[in-house]
Amino acid sequence: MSRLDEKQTAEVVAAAAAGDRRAWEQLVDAYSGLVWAVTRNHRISAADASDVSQTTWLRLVEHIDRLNDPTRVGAWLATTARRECLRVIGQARRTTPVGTDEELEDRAAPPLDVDAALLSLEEQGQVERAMSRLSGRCQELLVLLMSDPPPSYEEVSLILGMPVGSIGPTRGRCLRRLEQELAAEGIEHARRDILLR
Amino acid sequence: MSSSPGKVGVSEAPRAVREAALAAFDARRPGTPVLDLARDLPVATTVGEPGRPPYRELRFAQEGAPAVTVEVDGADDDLVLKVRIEWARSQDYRLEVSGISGLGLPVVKGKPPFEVSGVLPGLTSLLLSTGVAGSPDEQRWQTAWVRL
Repeated sequence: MSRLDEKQTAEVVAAAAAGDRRAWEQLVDAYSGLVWAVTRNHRISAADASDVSQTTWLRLVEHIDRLNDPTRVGAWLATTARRECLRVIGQARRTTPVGTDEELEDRAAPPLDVDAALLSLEEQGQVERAMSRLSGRCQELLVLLMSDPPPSYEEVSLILGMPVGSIGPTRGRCLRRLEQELAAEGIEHARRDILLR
Repeated sequence: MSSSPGKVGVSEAPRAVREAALAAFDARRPGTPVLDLARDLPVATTVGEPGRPPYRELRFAQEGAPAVTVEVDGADDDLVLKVRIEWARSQDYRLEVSGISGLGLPVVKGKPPFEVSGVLPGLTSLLLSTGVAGSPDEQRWQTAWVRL
């Protein structure tokens, strides 16, 4: 894997967007391991992982001239690969409902608890406001680590350009800061523990 | 907000995966706007047709461009695509269904909706155009790649 610094990354992305195949090869050299690791981390089959990997690179072909921040193409690829994995997993979980109306009704989802849903939405707003007051670095790190499944520390290191050894301590500091902000939003201690677990 | 690290680290991708990533570059169509995948859902069949798999509905859209809805049905090795195109302007289109392997390139022309049969499964993108090919009034779009 050939590491690229921010300046090199931006230059290589721009060159690939302009049609330079050698630049594309540099991107593949630098990030194919990351994309592969993200797909395999989702425990999908090797065939599905290959599909997801190729689809991820096709997405980059489609969007390479529309990236908001070309220096963060690694994060973009990791996020896209994760999203494609979840789509594959979601498709595999979908089943055809077959049976009588009564049988299907028995299997239907339980009715929505509107009060609980509203509370959840309110909390979501509080969490979003609390998050927005954290530093950009903390926001990036916590959002990344909240992914399901979470990325490995090696992936986080590559995506955010942080040494692996500093991820745990930084996460701890960011979570403490987030807890303070959640408290400022009026979320009670017991509930904060659940949210931050 | 659990965040225990996963066990899989970053390693080399297998050669075939790396080659597929390189091949993705050859599938680009410079200057052709991409209609992003906005929806990908199975549409369940009715209770009266037990055993029949759901068909799949894909929708592609982009601001200032036609919205394309594709219904995917048929057998695994002979897919049938029903393609609807929504845009402010009603006009003739040329629709090409292309695979990443370059195999199977059905082309239809005229006013939508279109029905295209004999489509092979695999990574697929639709290429849509209006106007006279090669003329200044020609407009082209491609859908995002999806695996059919």
